[in-house]
Amino acid sequence: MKPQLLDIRRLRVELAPRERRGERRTVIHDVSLSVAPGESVGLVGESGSGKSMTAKAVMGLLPRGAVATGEILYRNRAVLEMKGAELAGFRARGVSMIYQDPRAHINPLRTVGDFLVEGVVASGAMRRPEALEAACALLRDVGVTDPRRRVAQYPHQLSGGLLQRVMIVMALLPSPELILADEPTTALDVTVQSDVMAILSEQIRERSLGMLFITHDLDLAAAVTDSLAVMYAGVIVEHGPAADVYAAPRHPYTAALLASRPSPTSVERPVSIPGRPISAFEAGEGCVFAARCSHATGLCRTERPDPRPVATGTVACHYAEELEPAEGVRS
Amino acid sequence: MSTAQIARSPALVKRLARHDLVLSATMLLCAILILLALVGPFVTPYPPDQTDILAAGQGPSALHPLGTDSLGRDLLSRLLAGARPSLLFPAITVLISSVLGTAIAIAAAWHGGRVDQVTARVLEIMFAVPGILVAVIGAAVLGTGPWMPVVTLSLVYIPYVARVVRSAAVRECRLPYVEACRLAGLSGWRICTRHVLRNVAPLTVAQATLAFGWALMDFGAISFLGLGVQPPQAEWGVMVNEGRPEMLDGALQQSLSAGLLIVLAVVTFNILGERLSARIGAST
Amino acid sequence: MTAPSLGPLLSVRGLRKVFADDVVAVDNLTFDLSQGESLAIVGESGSGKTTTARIIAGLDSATAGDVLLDGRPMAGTGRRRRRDVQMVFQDPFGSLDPRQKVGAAIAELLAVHFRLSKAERRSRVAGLLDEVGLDERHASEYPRNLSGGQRQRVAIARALALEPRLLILDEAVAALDVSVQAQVLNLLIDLRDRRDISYLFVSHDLAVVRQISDRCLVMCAGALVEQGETRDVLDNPRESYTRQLLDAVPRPGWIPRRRQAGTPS
Repeated sequence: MKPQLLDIRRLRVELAPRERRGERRTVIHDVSLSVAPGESVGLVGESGSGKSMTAKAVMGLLPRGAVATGEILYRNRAVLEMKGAELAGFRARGVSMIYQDPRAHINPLRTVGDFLVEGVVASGAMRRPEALEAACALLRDVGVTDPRRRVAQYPHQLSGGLLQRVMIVMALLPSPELILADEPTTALDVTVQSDVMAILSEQIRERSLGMLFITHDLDLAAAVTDSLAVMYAGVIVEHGPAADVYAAPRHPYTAALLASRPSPTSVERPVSIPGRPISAFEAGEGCVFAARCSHATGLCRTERPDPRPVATGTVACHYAEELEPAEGVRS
Repeated sequence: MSTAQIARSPALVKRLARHDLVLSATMLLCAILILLALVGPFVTPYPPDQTDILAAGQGPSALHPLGTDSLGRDLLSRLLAGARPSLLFPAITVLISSVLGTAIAIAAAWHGGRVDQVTARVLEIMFAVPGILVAVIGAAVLGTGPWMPVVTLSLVYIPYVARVVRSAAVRECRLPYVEACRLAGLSGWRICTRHVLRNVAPLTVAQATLAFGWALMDFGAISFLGLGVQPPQAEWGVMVNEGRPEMLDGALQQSLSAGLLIVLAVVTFNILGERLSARIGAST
Repeated sequence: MTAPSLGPLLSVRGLRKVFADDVVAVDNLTFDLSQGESLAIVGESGSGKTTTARIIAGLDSATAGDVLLDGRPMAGTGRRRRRDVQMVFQDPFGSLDPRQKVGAAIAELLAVHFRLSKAERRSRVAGLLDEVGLDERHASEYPRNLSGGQRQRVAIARALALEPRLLILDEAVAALDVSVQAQVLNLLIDLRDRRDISYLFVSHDLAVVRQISDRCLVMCAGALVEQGETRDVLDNPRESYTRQLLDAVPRPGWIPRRRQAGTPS
């Protein structure tokens, strides 16, 4: 087995109770996931699935009072046990994050240049002039014309697409080995999304970085990642090579999610999943998807299935072997 | 989420008090003060105005637990009887200014544009005017007595409520549900009274509670100056004033007890108001 | 009942909207929508699609041009005619009064517009909830206790309560999770089969537009780029902008592409 860049093993996260005597709320039940150097992994789920919380756990940014068990290994170092300088170093040089809403994550009162170089200058990796130089070179790489003018501008003078490219540059500047992209294109128009995704993929490929790509958009994830993990209510229900998961989904949830997407090429009634997506703490004893699953049996409602290897991936379903792979989308 | 959430009366008290010792304590004190205002005048050991020259200027004793004043009136009786006017007039004032302030705030927020801007500026100017000064001028024009400060302070306190409620109402009016109501053909009056008002009401209550604390202080001061409630009627501000000459003789109890009650009431309602605002802020 | 008119239900003529900062949001837009038709307006942010919808709904005023319903101007018309055009908004969290129970929210509209007894009103509320796939338990809930999909159903029920002839859906399914989006989309498709209602469906999502609209308009920067039968426009786009939009939709075998230089960003 090849050495992993990021290895998440049986991660479980509970948040502090809302009230003093309230109960802890589980947001992630059981997540095992790894990213090899140069590999892009898509983490796909609906709201409340725990996908963003997974990213926060990797960054060591869990909310106050949260308890994480299991292991998160970055180059065999335990992230959950990192403290102080080690954690700061890991965040500054090991892994970079790209957020959904660039405008909310950029200080509106400082110039784009200040924002870009702040991290690398503060961590002592570069001095300010060379950092600005490097930032301008990178901006040019991601297709920003006239970078010298851009770095002197303020965020409100830039469009959303341009700001997201600035975010990408900020993430790449400290030469990290792993990029966490949390819905990086969700706030963007489709044409801009295509643009930004193209740039991101290009940079990842050129530098052979690892990427954990978090999104609600299964179509997008399947197009830009090597492997796909589908998450529901704090559990990874299916994991495998992107093309296989997309073409022949084995978990009923993955299949249902694909079927509920309106077809972009023909008029077909989308097959909706009854009910609403639940959060991890609402799931009972059994399989997290049991309440909405058309194949669910008594066993599904009482015992939570562990992920098991099926074909090229893993599937957390009691009937993974028996159920025919659903008709997915073939590319 | 809007300013809602803090709602529904019986559950309200319970939910607010839970896990918040300070809030529970201030709510208990408030209840005691309100009880004082309601039953105080009926449980006085002596008629509050009954003078007794033979017992004048006494310290605490079995007959007069807090002693007597220079006319021999029982201090405990006067404090109990004074609770009602001391709390009632500020309450009426705050009620009037809250109703007017909220109405102005919502009307301004609903109309927006110039109307809103002008209202906001006028409120800021009013906010800068000290209440006592207006009351003193009011006394010169309207004469002394308890109703004079009610009229003037009602006007003075309008911006205390209106400024805060206005900014909440402006936020509320921008929410899509208000547009949805407009589209559905509901009248502006109905949207403002049935929807916007209901959503800013908790904030109005919190702000009125705060203003009540300030009004208590201003009323005490006005009575102390001899412009409000007139002697011989018992009132805490009046009593602080009447106790002044006695203090020269070393008899502190009249000014001190009445003054402490005012401070206690002011602090209680201020803390309560602050806590309520904070709670509403947290649930917004 | 209005006499069956031969003309379109809605006509938009030379619509123009200029905002205070001289931004032209909509420029000389003209289109028709016939009775019972579902028309989609497609575009990216800044295309003017939402501004157009808001002007038609009467929430904004146009700088120039006319919005005609049955050939008569909409501007300044009474409540009865306003009722004919209703709108469902994108945000399922903000479009309901947080302090009003779902049943009361629907009943309020009925009380304002129709002369009904209390019992009639109650049964009408139950009927409307049933029509959008909710039941009487939901009537006594506050919006905060409902999921996004359920709230959007309530918003639809409220719009339907006024028996509109035109329902404007402004990104009405965009904020919903995929698995719930399909439910609401199917509900909208079914409603049109049951009721004689027209849709003006404003969206950026081409796959959704394909499912729900008969015709579509493509807008860019305030101007009409292309219009026609939805199938024709999406399968054989004539304008390069429409093709760009279609190419940008992630699908099997899709490879994200950088835009050519010269396109605005």
